Amino acid sequence: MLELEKQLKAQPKAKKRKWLDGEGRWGLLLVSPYLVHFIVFVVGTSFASLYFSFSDYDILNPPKWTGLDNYEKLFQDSLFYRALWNTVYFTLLYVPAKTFLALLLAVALNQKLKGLKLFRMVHFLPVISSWTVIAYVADAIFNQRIGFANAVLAKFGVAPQSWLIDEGWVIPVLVVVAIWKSVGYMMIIFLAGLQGISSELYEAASIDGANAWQKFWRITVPMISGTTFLVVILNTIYSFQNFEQIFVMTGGSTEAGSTGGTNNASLVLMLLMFRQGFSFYKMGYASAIAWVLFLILLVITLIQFKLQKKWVHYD
Amino acid sequence: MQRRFPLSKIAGYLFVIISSLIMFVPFLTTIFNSLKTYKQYMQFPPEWLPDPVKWSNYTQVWEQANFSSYTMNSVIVAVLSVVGTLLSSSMVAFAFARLRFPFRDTLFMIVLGTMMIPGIVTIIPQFIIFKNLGLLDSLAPLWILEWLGQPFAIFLMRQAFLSIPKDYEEAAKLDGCNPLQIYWKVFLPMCKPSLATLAVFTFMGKWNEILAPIIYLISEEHFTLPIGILSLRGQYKTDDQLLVAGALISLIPILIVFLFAEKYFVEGSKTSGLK
Amino acid sequence: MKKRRLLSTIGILGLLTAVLFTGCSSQPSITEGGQLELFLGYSSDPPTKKKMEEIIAKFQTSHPNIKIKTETAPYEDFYQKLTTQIAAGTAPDIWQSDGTKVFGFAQRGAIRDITDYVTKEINKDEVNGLEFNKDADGKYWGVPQGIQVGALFYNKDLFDKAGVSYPTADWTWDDLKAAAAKLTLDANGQNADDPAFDKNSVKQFGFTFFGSSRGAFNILKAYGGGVLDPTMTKSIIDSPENKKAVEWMADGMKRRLFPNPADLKAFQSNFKVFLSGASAMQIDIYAATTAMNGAELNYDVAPLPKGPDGKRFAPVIANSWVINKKANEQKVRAAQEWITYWTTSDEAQVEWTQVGEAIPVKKSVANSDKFLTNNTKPENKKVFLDSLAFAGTIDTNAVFAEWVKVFTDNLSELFMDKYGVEEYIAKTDQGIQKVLDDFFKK
Repeated sequence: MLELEKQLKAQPKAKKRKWLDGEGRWGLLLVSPYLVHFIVFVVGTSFASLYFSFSDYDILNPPKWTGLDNYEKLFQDSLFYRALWNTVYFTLLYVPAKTFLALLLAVALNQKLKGLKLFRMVHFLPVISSWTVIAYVADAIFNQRIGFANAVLAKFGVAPQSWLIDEGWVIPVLVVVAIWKSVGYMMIIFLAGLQGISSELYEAASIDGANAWQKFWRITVPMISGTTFLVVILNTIYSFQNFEQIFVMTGGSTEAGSTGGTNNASLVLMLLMFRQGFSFYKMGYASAIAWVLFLILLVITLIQFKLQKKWVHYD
Repeated sequence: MQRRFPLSKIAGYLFVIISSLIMFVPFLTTIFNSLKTYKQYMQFPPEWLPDPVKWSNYTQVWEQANFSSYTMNSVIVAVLSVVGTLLSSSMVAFAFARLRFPFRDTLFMIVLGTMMIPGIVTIIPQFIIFKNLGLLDSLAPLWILEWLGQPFAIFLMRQAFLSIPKDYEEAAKLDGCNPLQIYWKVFLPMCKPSLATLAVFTFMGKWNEILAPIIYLISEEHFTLPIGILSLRGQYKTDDQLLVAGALISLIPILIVFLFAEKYFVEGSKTSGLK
Repeated sequence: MKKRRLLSTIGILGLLTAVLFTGCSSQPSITEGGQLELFLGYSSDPPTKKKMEEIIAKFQTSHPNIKIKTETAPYEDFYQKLTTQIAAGTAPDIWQSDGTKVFGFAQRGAIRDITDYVTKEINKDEVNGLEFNKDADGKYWGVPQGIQVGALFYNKDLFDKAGVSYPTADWTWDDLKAAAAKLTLDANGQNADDPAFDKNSVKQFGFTFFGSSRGAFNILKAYGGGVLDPTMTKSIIDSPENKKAVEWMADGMKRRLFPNPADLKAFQSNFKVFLSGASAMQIDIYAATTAMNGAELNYDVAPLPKGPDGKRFAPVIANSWVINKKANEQKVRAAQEWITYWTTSDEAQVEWTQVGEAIPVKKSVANSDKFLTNNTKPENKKVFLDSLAFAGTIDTNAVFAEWVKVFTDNLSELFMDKYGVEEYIAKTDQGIQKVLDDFFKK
């Protein structure tokens, strides 16, 4: 397989192509559904929200152009930096851990053994459960009065922690719960990816005396890197856009008074944006946050695309 | 090969069983909660087991959430979405993965880019577009975009297509197949695991979707199930036990779809056949 | 070459978008049968929806010229839908607005000034709470759909067990605190007055308050303080009265008589402390009775206590009918007919009272046994009507949600001992004034 790759690379670059040759026409034809999507739905909505971000827009009245006002305010808003850091911190913990666990689970569940069908489905249950349900169960573990976690700590003589209230604990706890809820989703993507790996590779490795761990690192990991790449990018985007969990688990409506946690320890960009946009009628400001978030994600993704050449193997 | 490593097999089983238990607990708790009375639900500290067991929650929620009249709309939306996504997104993805055409990479970055704009700030412009298309208060806004290529689906299928060796394409080309035929006859059948994954995800996403139905639908004849379940939520009092029971009933179709698609997840590698 | 193509492509795309955005649809207001179609929105849950549909059916029988088309959704979703619709110009002609949102819609120009209609056609002596929708300039923006008034809810079982006598109308906030101390119990069953009381293992709290209408706002008011001045554009947080009230609260938190934000969190929901019988008293509004009856609590209500100078205050939220500013004259007429029907007809009022979620807006119904029924708890429903005499809004204005956020967030931090009373006052005063200036000084 590597031989083939080398051969392909060795081939001289195709001669300069016409702007729209046969393949190009086919390409445009096949991609045309998305072109319609793009023209009708993406261009308009994106420009509109970009325009909002340069306007004073309270939703109820037409936007009034105010230039860079929103962005100026944003970059002076200490809450924005707080939320940005919380979002990044969440992502740094969440993406690697979840990606690795999902792969591990997929490999474990990829064995052709009896009963695994049921086990695979069980791993999908938290994925389809609503956040309200998950929050209820998470509370049984992380409740400071009655939670399982503090009960265990007490056995070791450690003082009880107030997990979701504690400024230091809240994000790690949220990450653990988020992984628990959604690892099954990425596991399934990995499972599909694993089907693409030829069993001959494993057989050859077995003959060479490789153990399971070696096979995992030397064959599975590199061969599935295309899927890993997909999973990492998706996880990053999801992590930046995580809203419902934080909303449900750290407060809810303004009446509760504590959305975003004590001292805004779990205030993330999406929460700040939703609050500004729909609770405070500051859609212009919310849109500015959205576009900053977009730019950050875009840069991260572009870097990941650049880096993929170093570690992602396509056939 | 597995048989030669009984130890790793046992370890694998153990790992799977433990993690399954962790995954199953919330579900079990949910089932118990769905059988409680409001009074017991409000108890603190909470009790795990329902006492008394209130089976009538299920009949009550079936009526209050209008399951019998809303299910059909949900089925229409979900089925149209799944079919649309599988067809359109895989086709678009094939072009991105396997064909060279002008602005391909720029366009692909745009596809990814649209995933990065938080939906909250595009709700209003999108609503206005659907208004101008005359599609408000119809099911169309809930599934039409799925027929025009969804970013996530395109990305997923593109990665799947990318991992298929070039030999297949070359062989088909020699047989005189055009790109559409190559896509349909060669590539799609080879990506069944990814298609099955996509089908499950799309079905799940659409079946549970809340925001779009809430915003786009006005007449009750068009309501989907999540609206029915959500409507149990009151401003001052919510019968959580009913909400949970409703959520559980509505999970069943997702599980059926999952079981149906499940066999494709582990269909086994066919890619080795050609070499 | 390539560039020009790119430019022209962008041009075409732009054009297409422009076309899509400018299309305009005007809906005919008269249906085939010569009826006027009135588009009405309200938030609901299954019982309220059912009742509203019944009332609408009755209205249509007595008003054959009007056909009502409805839209409804659960509370929070309703407002997101409504906001989007207002932006797109497809909002209902008339909708039921949360009392705390009326001025937000009014001052942003989304609803109609109905002063004329209210002064001419609504008899103030017959309808509860009209003045709560009047702004500082004397304009009316809505007519109450249902009234919420705050009172002191208490758990009779817990009072009986502790041998403490029930709250009375004469109570001051200090009386409440003294009772709360006897009703706060640790894991060993010792109350907060006991020297052996263990602050770290409180099992039962004396008194719960949180948020705005259920919270500190009421105590500030009773102490003679408050949050905003009568124009609703200036913070009056920095006052000696407020300081005294905040000290009273902080002291109760320190003595663990009241659950702090961390305690509330541990109970899964703020409401669960009282609902689960772990708190002897709570400030809440009339609507809370539905949940308390559902939880089968043995409870009753008393008026909120007096301040040190005998001042009384009860919070009120007047959920109201408001009319879309963009509605045409015909629809406005129809909407007003609906409002008149809602507020003056006995059949609508009696039906709505049965839902048990709001105090009727028609005084004669509110004072009748339709509302004061003994079939449901609490026994002392009259407390709610009596409290109207000293009730006021919770300083609702256009930026209500935003200043409340500052107010309650800071309070949480005070109660979690992040800073002291002085700093709370200074920080909150500044924060709220900034919110107000951002909006009113534009």
